[in-house]
Amino acid sequence: MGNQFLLALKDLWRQKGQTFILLVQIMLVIGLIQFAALSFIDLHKMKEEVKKLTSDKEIYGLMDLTSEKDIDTLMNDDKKAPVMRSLYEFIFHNKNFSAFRMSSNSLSVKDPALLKVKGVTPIRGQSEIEYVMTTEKFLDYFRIDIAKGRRFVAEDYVNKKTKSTPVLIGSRLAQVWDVGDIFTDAYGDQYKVIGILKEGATYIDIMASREIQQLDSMMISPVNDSKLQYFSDYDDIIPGSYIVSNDEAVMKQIVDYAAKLKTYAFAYKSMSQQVKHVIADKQEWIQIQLFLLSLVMSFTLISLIVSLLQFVAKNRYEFGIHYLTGATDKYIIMRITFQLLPLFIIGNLVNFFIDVTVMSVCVTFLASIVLGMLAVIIPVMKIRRMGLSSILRWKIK
Amino acid sequence: MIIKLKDVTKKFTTNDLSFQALAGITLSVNEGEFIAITGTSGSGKTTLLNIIGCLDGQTSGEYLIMGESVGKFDEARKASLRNEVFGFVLQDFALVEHYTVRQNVTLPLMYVKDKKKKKGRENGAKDLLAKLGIEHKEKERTALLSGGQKQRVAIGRALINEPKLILADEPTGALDQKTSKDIMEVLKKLNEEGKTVIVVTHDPFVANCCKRVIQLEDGKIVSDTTRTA
Ligand SMILES: Nc1ncnc2c1ncn2[C@@H]1O[C@H](COP(=O)(O)OP(=O)(O)OP(=O)(O)O)[C@@H](O)[C@H]1O
Ligand SMILES: [Mg+2]
Repeated sequence: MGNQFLLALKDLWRQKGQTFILLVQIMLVIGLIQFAALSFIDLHKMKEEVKKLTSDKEIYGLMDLTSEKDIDTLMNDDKKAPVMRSLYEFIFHNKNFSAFRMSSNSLSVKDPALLKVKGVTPIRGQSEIEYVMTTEKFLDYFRIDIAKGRRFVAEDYVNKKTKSTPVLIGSRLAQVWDVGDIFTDAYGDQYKVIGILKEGATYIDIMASREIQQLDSMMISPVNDSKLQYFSDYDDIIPGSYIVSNDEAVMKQIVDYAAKLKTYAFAYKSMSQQVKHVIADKQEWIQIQLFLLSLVMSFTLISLIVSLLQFVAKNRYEFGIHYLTGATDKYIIMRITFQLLPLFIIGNLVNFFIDVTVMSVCVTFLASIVLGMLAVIIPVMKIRRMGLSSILRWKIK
Repeated sequence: MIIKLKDVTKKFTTNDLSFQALAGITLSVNEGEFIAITGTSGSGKTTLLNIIGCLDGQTSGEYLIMGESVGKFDEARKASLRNEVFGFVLQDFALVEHYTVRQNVTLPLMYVKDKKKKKGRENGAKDLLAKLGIEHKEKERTALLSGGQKQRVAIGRALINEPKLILADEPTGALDQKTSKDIMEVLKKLNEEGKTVIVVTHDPFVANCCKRVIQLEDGKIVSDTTRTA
């Protein structure tokens, strides 16, 4: 066995050029399989996520149809703040329904340790961290669990006194901060870590981006009633809020109330309708992606198999000589396996350059095993079919 | 009796065309014989030798090695026969050109199971090379050798496992007259040392070196003469 392994390594070295081309092809195929697996997983996740969204109560999203001009007028009207307060109270503190937000904002923090965290965007030496300012309902709705620390308490939503905003941080940010740590953003505002989210927490803002948001490198902060003062504070929160209720009438109430207060011109959309469109869209997109991928992949795969067969054919006469002097199929299979094994192992390293999941790595690994086995078995079968005497008769070099 | 063929035939079938390469060969070979198989090109000499050497199977008939029927042997058994009972010397040498002389000669040892035998033969490789007059080329790449030297390497490889039978298919076919003579001297000496040697050839000079000459025509034996010196 050791002998065959050494021979195989020598074969690879002797045919450096071809080895290299083969390696590149294998890497390409493995990379492509990886992407295909990721796409599938993405679609699956999306479906799961959306199932979560629609399994409970119906949820409605507000759509802001207010004209630019009206917004300008509202913005410059100092007396609007108390009116906005009452709209805010109506939506967020209504005993008939509950509301939450999904849209994210970002804040800049200067901490060199953050630069190493995956998913945090570095901008001019600072790090942009995405966060969702929302309510308790958000955590419930997306079933977001805490790995360490605590969730928000009622106090966190109304607290006037504390200087620092309590935040829940994603699991990756836990590389930098722990529960109890306090940090300051670029504006000098303070934040205090009260809990760490379980790894893999996600949510989806189906009306907006349609992408699954990974909370691992994000933060969640509470909407603090007592911090809302100006029109812009409310304007940040109210449009784009989601209402959980099984009674469509409450949506009409909200739209009417906003109109009565001479604030926003709202419309609304039910999530179950929206979800259908989004899923269909996403599915179509993934299908196109997979189609293109399978095209590229089949070409690459064919050229890979041709190269593999050529590679083995080049050695066929030598294999024939080994058979002549006493080798059995077992040795030849070992030899070819050892020739291909390093290529496939190195090829699989390409996984480290793609943002992969355990699942997609497994799929890719299995695919490369199947491919490798084909590449070993086909030439051996060919040799068996050809017969030893023919190999030696028709010397192929 | 080391080898016995009874009414052996061989049919090649490619794309529905079949060709009868051997049409009923009956032949016995005793230990220590020195046999030439001659005949025109395409008469089936190589086919016969390949069947004797277990490189190929017959279509019908029976083939016995030391009293045992080869038809019953599995691949592993045939491989071990090729490894230890037969030594092959082919016209185009069948050497791995990028190996060194030593690597080529010791190639069959890779498939020897008995560790002690293997070790002993490995140590004996140098003497074998010396006997064949190529000890100074031991570490040279085989591709760089002359034809005669290559054939000596092939003979070395054929001998390394101390086989009972040497099967040579046109061993001098690619060599000039002088070198051919040298190679035949080597084979003759091996025969004198007790090895059974079968040489396929259409060179009358080579056939003349052998004690027994079998002539094939269209897959049949047309004459089988043993010289009484
Ligand atoms: N694998 C094969 N498939 C089809 N036909 C074959 C095969 N091997 C040999 N033959 C045919 O069998 C016949 C005998 O071939 P063989 O090689 O035994 O002849 P030979 O006597 O050794 O000839 P030469 O002196 O030219 O080497 C030839 O006509 C050849 O074409
Ligand atoms: Mg021939």
